[in-house]
Amino acid sequence: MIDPTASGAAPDPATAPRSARGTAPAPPVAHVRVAVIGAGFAGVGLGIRLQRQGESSYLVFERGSGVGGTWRDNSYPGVACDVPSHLYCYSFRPNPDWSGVFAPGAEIRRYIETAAREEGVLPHLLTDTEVFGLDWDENAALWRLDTTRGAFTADAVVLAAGRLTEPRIPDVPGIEGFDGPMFHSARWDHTAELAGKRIAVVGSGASAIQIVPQLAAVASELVVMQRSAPYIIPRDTRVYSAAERSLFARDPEELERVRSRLFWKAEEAFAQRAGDADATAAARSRALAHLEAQVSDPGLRAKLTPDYEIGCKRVLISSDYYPAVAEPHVTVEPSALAGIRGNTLVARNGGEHEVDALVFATGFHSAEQPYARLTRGRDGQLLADHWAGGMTAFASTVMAGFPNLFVVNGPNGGLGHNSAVYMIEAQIDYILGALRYSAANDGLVLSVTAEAEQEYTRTVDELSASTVWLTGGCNSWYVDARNGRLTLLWPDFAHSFRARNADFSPAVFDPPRPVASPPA
Amino acid sequence: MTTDARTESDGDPRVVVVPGLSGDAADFSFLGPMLGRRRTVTTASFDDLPTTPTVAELTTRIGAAANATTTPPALIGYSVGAVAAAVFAAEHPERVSALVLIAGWLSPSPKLIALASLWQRLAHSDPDALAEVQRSALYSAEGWDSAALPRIDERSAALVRLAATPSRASAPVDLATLATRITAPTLVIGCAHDEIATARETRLLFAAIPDARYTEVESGHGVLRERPAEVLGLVDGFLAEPRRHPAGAILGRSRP
Ligand SMILES: Cc1cc2nc3c(=O)[nH]c(=O)nc-3n(C[C@H](O)[C@H](O)[C@H](O)COP(=O)(O)OP(=O)(O)OC[C@H]3O[C@@H](n4cnc5c(N)ncnc54)[C@H](O)[C@@H]3O)c2cc1C
Repeated sequence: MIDPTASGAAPDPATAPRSARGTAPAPPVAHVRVAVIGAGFAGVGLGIRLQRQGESSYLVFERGSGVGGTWRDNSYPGVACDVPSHLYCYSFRPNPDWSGVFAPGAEIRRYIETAAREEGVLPHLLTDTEVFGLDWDENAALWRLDTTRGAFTADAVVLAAGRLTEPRIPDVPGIEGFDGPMFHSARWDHTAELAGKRIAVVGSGASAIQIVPQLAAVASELVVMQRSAPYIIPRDTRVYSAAERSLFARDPEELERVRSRLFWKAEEAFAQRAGDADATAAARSRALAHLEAQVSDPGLRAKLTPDYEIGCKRVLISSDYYPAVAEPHVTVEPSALAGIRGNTLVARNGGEHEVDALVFATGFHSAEQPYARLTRGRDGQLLADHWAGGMTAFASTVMAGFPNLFVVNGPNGGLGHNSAVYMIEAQIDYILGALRYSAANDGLVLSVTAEAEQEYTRTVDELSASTVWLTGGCNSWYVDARNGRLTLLWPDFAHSFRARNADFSPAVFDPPRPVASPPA
Repeated sequence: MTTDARTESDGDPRVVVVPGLSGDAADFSFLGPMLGRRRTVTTASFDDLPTTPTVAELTTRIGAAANATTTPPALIGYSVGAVAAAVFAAEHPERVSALVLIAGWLSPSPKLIALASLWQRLAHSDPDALAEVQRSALYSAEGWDSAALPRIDERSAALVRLAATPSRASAPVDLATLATRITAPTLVIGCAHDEIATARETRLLFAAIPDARYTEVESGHGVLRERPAEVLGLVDGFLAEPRRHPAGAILGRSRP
């Protein structure tokens, strides 16, 4: 990284957060080596790793009021992970205390909060701070950040801004006339009185199937507006016994073994995504047997039977969703929400349901990320324009024309079958490797070649072609609707992502440019 | 299973897999198609073996599968198939580009010999009980949810008998001597809870091969059902760059 003094302003990075927080006259622009945008699993994880390396010149910008990202925003009743908790956490911070196989969301949030606090990341965290402009300054060889707490500069920027952060609410006519509680699953209104009410849940994806059993327990009537039926497999609802948790605490190797077993078991499921006929058939039978075992009414069963191949959309894990929708006061409307008249929901198939409260479990804007519209690289190029044909990046992490910029959990950085945290950690390894290399080379500006990015994208497209996400006959949010490219998922095993992308290699980066002389 | 012959590595895109005690290609029902996404995979066929096959019979089958490729393939053997693959690689170093030996052994363990004699006793009188006993031996307690009853038939009986024959007794195969002639870069995968090959015998096989590296998986002998994805990860990594780890290296367990 370049010498901080070369940027013209270099207050002690440790004091930068405080000066930025104060109301005193604008301080000189604070400069850090690394600016991290977002404090979810990715941003906090990177902060921890920087901290452990003794790096103190970094800041984490978070528009929310605390850390946790997904697990701060999603507080709906029933929220929990669907990758086992001993796997869905940092490998470098195992947690012997997970309450059960799948921990509730609040527990995951506390885990991230504790990690950030105990590892010393909090002094580097600026909460309630939104980044709304991010511009590469070629002459100064640094990034300029505009935030709700003023301007900052950084040698390198890491976009750890998530992918499931912008609630998607269907734009249906009449929505503004609805009289009653109405909110998105990721913006749950905990003050809304729902007991005894007629409630509709729009959507039948990962969030909906966690919410529905909870609401079914309190609603007088519940309608589920289902555009497309999901595949659901049984959930292991086991909680860990005191003896198990004690063993995890006393024997760290046991934790490691469990994590490893969970990881490699989860990896097996990729065969179903890769179009392997036997594996796919076995998975399909398992899911349909679960439906059959839990729903006896043939009419309801038909409504709940998916019309696409398993794996094309996220395979959901639940043992209480089917029993909930089979209850007499619950109705599954197998159709999309088309409009709202007063408090009556009108389905595309003509079905009408009058309700008192409306919950949108309709997912997120994922194919086009808002941060792409605020990021400008070389020659003022907008990242959103670079991504007009769908998100791309070399190693899923660096983009040509955007020097010293890294994105985590971005293009082809997600998984449909294993833990997102594993992917995030591989990307963090790559980023730290890049930062080390730059530091060891006089702050060399790292600019990946366009050819490398294109070649990587070609490989990804080739790997994607035979996967169920492109062949399974569904409309999935993993695919960019603008061009039909699979841009959100890594189309292979998680272990192959790490093997391919965790190690930084300078070979695909532009050679050093003549360095501009620092201002006097 | 056949896909485009492109490979992302310098290694050979062609792979020959050699089944274990069942003699059944189903041993590779996960590994085969997944390796086949980027490589061409051929299975050495153990169909129609004679009642008392020799190792030479198995290496002939491997040779036939290897011949189907224009360039020397990577050879992946499992269990008794690993023993046969090692013999093949020793006798025909020029026909193997890389070698992966999964849950193989240098000499049959006493427990394997005992299981083979139980097989002789029960195969006809009580094949169901035999299948149960074999399953218990094949799978580890931790991997029990993956355990499947092994097939009891003439072919598996013949392979078990062969497997339990100490190599010296079935001349000309003395694996300890032969193994030193293997020139292909080799990955030996042992199973920590292997009650059939035993991890120690697998490590001895590793020790006998000059250009070999070793790693161990938390599994019983039935590793291709207990931990198929982990084996895939190891094989993939090895085939991409066979000599990434030096000869003699013992690789740490995976830490995902
Ligand atoms: C309900 C739900 C359940 C899930 N369950 C699982 C699961 O079981 N297993 C799994 O692997 N994955 C799961 N996921 C996916 C999950 O999103 C990832 O696992 C992971 O939490 C992503 O972490 P992240 O740090 O990349 O992003 P996030 O957690 O989304 O964090 C991004 C942060 O960036 C902040 N931010 C964004 N833009 C700006 C800006 N301009 N300025 C400042 N701050 C900004 C956001 O406020 C947010 O805090 C789930 C997702 C949801 C929504």
